[in-house]
Amino acid sequence: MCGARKFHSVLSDEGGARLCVVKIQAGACWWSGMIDYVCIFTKGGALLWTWQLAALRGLPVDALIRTCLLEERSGESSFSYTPPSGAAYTLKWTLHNGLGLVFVAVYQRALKLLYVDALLERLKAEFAEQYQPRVLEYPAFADSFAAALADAEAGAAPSKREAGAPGKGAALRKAGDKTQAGSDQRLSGKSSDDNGERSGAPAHDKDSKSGSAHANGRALGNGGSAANGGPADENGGSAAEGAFDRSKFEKLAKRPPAGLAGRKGGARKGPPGKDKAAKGEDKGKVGKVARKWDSSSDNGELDCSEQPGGASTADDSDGCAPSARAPTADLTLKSRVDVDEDDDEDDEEEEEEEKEAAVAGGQAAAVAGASKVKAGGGLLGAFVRSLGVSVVGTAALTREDIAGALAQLKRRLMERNVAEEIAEKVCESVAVNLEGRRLAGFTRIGTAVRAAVEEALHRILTPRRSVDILREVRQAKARGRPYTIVFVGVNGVGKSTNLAKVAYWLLQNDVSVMIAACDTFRSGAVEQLKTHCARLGVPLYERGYEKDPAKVAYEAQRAAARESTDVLLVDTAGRMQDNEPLMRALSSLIALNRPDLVLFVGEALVGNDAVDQLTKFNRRLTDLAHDQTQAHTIDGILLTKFDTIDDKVGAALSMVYSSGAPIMFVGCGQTYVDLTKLNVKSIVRSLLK
Amino acid sequence: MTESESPFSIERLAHSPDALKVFIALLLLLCLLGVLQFWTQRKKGDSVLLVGACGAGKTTLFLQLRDGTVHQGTVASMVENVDAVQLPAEKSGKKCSVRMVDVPGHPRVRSRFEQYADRACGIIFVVDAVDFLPHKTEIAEQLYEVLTNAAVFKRRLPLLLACNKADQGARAHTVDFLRRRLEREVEALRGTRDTLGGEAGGQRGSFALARPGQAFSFDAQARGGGPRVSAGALSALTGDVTSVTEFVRACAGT
Repeated sequence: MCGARKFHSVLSDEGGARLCVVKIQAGACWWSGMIDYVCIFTKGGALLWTWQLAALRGLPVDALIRTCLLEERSGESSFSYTPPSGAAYTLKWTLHNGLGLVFVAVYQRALKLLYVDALLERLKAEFAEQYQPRVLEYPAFADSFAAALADAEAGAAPSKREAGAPGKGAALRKAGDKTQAGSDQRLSGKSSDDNGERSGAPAHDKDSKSGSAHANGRALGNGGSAANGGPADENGGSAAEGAFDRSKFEKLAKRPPAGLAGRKGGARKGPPGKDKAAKGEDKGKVGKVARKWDSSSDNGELDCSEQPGGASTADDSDGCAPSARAPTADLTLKSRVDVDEDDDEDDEEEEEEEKEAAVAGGQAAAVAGASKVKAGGGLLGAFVRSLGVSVVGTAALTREDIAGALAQLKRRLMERNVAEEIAEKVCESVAVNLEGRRLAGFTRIGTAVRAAVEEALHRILTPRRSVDILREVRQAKARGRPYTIVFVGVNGVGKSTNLAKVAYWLLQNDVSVMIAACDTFRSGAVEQLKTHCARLGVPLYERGYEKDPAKVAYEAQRAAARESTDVLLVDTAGRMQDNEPLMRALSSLIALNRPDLVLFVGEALVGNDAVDQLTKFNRRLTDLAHDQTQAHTIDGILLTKFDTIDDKVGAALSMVYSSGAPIMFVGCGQTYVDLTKLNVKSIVRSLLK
Repeated sequence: MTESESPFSIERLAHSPDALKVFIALLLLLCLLGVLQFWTQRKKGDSVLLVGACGAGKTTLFLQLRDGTVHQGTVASMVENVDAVQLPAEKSGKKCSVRMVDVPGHPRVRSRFEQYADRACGIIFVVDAVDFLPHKTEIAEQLYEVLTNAAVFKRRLPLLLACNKADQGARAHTVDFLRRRLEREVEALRGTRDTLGGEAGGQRGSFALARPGQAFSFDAQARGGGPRVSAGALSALTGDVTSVTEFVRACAGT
């Protein structure tokens, strides 16, 4: 045990050691210092049963539900949660889909507990027997839990325990004294040499508080243990001792994280003080880096931005009408973002879908039929089975039942250009959510699977954050500063073109726009933007090709503020996700300018690479940020070339799933008006068609 | 019969008259059920929806109304809770039973609201009165979506702004404050939302919440034919929910 917890330094090791000693003395094995918290709740959100060893910091369970279970990531095996203070937790869970129950266990991430999965499975089996739909309290479950936990521990722990056995009581106390703040705490911590009645007192105390969740941390921990101590009293004196010793251990286990937190907090507070100086340095550094790659590419003599005729010599490389003489774009045409789309063109499509679903269902049922023992039913049963329809009261779905239909759906997703990794994860998550569920009468397995996948896709693609840019623009305006959008992406996906489209859309909505040419890398980039700006009648901020893009963006921001422009659109150079110096430059641009929105421009043609691009961009932006906690990652996605892909819309799903950012715009043509919002329903439809 | 070459070996069925009888009986039953369901659906709404942001206290309120206690507490909901809720008898009148739907507040599953809206007879929009200001924009967005939902707007469903967590005393904002701030936020949204076509959540009937050029307020939009909005404070945790029970009674009664 100690070996597994290097991370936790002396204190928790001591806790573990102490615990083992006490354990041997008491001879009661059902309690443990390993898992902090176990709870069982319905999918509807009502807690049925909880068991608490140490007070939890933050809300790990809510975080699990919100960022994992509801994001179609239930297929993953564990979830890591970093509370606002202290060391991180690991959460493990299992779902009982038949009854709609969720079982969650929380423990310190530093501990590598191997028995948690088995424990949860056992809890699931045992709790399912006791569960009644309308009953929300199960005090009697504590006993079976205690037994299960003891067994799990006994099976997993012996080798570890020996390692942790040598007690170091004195060191423990010293360390304890160091970290204890309140004298009251110290008292209870010191006098922790076993006296059984003391454990009774806190227990009663907590009972009267009836687990009020907002008492101080220690009280909460004790409350939890007391609540469990109650029903476990039948275990006799050992249980009382157990309860007491546990409370002691809690404190010990809790302290180190608190200490850590304190230290961390202190450490964290340090840097901001020097923030400005650091920034200054960074600027210098960035300058150096940037110059390196700038000079390495010999575009010194190609810098034609100083020549007066630069704009007119630039060719219009992005599909706008070559009659670049026309000075302004026609702003009267409505951008397609603002045009309602009619959604109801798909009656016959749906019929088709039905048919296909029927086929899928039939196949799935065939698989199911083959794998299952034909349980009674005779002719009628066989007939019904051959239809793949579940009449009232089928057995719970098993993996084998849904495997066929799922495999087919996965293949279909991949045919639609969804990255394989993502298709795999989505299907896995759907399978986890379906397993054990009972179908309603007259439902095909295929239909049920399909509906579940459809729902999952809907859920993934529905944006989590608001995509109402105009509103945010107005808020920024009210605060008197320009709203800055940075366009990032790999080479040749259409950053500049779509930047112009966004500018066009903003202009139509009475928002003043300025464009900053921060692509100081590719020849002709500035000229391209000049042409767009001339056509749109928008000011361009450019400093030629020599400059460091971060500085250009910074100056542009100030210029925009001076001229009280509402929105500043920053065009950056395209870069491959593996290009270290360029990613570094981008990261410093974002860190220096603190844009309101970082838009990742990705083309819809991309297949498996979508995942790689987005995850690497996000990771580089996080890793290279000066302050990792304030790293600004990708906020939204602009999907381009959407008109070229027909029904292979998988990139949308891959990008959203791998980054968690919503798709804010979709570029779907060559002219300024060709920018729309994502229509989730139509995407899901074409994904499953 | 034997000649008919259907894919589902009907001749085999015909050979065993028992199975055939059962089959026909089942078919009849199915028709009957279908008709019954059709009838019940034609009736006007019978459910009250609990909507609101994550962590506002919808499930707590749901449990409180249904069981009179919050049991062990709640965590974030993943699916909706649907159940018949019996409200305690009034001084004068009879017991009142209503179907209560607690819709999860997580943005990803929020849209499930739409499939319950058709059967609704009232909506309780739960707002966390303590933790309101940091999330006012998202809350207003959700309120806007509820108010402009076709089923809600056309039928002018009554909506209660339930300002939860009144038990926290001075930390909770007053009902009046929340109402005014939400009006302002919705007003701000109105300007921008109208320009966004092809809404991300799919098609949604877009309804003008107030006449153009007129500032939005709940009263004004009710006069203009929109949903009627009332507001009340409550505390789902302690069981102080009279404002809600009154509202539900009014919904179920009319």
